[in-house]
Amino acid sequence: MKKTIAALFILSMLLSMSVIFGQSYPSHTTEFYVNDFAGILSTATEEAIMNISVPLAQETGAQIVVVTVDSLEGQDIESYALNLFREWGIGDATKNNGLLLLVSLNDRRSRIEVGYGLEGALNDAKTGRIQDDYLIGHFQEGNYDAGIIGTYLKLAEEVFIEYGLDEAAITSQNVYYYPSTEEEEGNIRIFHVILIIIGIMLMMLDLIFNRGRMTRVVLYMIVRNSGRGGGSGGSGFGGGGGRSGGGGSSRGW
Amino acid sequence: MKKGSIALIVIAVVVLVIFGTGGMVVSRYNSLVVLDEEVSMSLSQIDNQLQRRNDLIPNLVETVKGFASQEQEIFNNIADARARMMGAGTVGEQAEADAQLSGALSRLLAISESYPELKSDANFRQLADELAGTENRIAVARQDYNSVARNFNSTAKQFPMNLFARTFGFESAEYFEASEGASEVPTVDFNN
Repeated sequence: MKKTIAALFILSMLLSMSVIFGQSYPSHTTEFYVNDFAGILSTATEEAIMNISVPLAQETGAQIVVVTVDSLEGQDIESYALNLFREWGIGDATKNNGLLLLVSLNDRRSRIEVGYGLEGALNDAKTGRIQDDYLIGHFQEGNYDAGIIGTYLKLAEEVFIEYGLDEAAITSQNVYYYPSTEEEEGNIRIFHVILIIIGIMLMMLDLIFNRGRMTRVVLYMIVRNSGRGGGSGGSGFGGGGGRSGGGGSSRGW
Repeated sequence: MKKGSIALIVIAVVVLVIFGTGGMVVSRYNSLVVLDEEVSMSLSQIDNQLQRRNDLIPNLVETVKGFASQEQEIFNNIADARARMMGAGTVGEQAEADAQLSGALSRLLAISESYPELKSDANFRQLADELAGTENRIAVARQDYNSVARNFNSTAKQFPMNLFARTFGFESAEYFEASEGASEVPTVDFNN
């Protein structure tokens, strides 16, 4: 009898723990502004983000954070983004000037979550258009890195303007404008198919007449580039305690 | 001597209990005042967002009418729900009207799927984003309010505050919750 009670007790403990931990969110990296849990960002992108976000936060308290995850664990992206935003405390505690770009690969959903203090600079419609213009197009082609850095730079530009900082350097970096309109989609697809066919033909010609030397060089370059260096600086940044009220917009691709 | 000291101890204990309880009541009273303030603040957050949505609706409806003027039923549903919202007195009535209006508006956004021109209209996309954002803000404000209200209610129900809450004029906070199916509007099925 006692054993059954003990077993039941342990079981209920485990169950309640799984309930508690079921709702948990990943803790942020020491870089804080870049959290590439899905592993889709290049080192260059991560550096570019840190180079802008760190001084911006020191100057204004505004924190622009990028998070990529594989899955939202069954939640909708709106509540995931909100809870992550509040748990990490993105932005200054009194100015609430945080900004979160969240991407979930398996759910094919993206969201820009805006803290109270930046809702004036970035209203919902604007965040929606930014994703239309800088993110969706790249993502539909599987080019996540370009979509994220383009969107990030556009968001940073808006925040710089809001705080009267010189945004020219950021604007000139942003070469990722790529509006996705539905008519163009078909043409882009066909264009891609043609490119792939040309590539395969070139490869075959190379294999036949050149013993595949070029193919080997290209393959080598692709393999070498895909190995990504991790190395965190151990600088250790953290949230400022900012909150969001659910402002922003979501997209799917 | 002995009798006197026992009487003294009893008096001391009684005084301690009275002061202790009194102190607890005072500190609980103060925390209830703070919580009560939070409840009304959270409620005004919901009101702000509801107002913001109310302001968005005429523009959105006008834009949709430009492309899909025949969807009269949806426009009527929205007008009904909006009128109900305006007339809502209590938090519960507000929650019911909010659920109905949310349902009607989501159907308005959904018809854009059948009108490609509407869907690609820049003005409509902008308004749809604003509406989706406001709906999300309402959901967040509602959650925040309910958790503060729960906090207030449970504090007010704890001993010894439960004995005094009513005397001090604290009424339990009403949750912002709509009953099941409140978002459903009677619809006419044209397929039959």
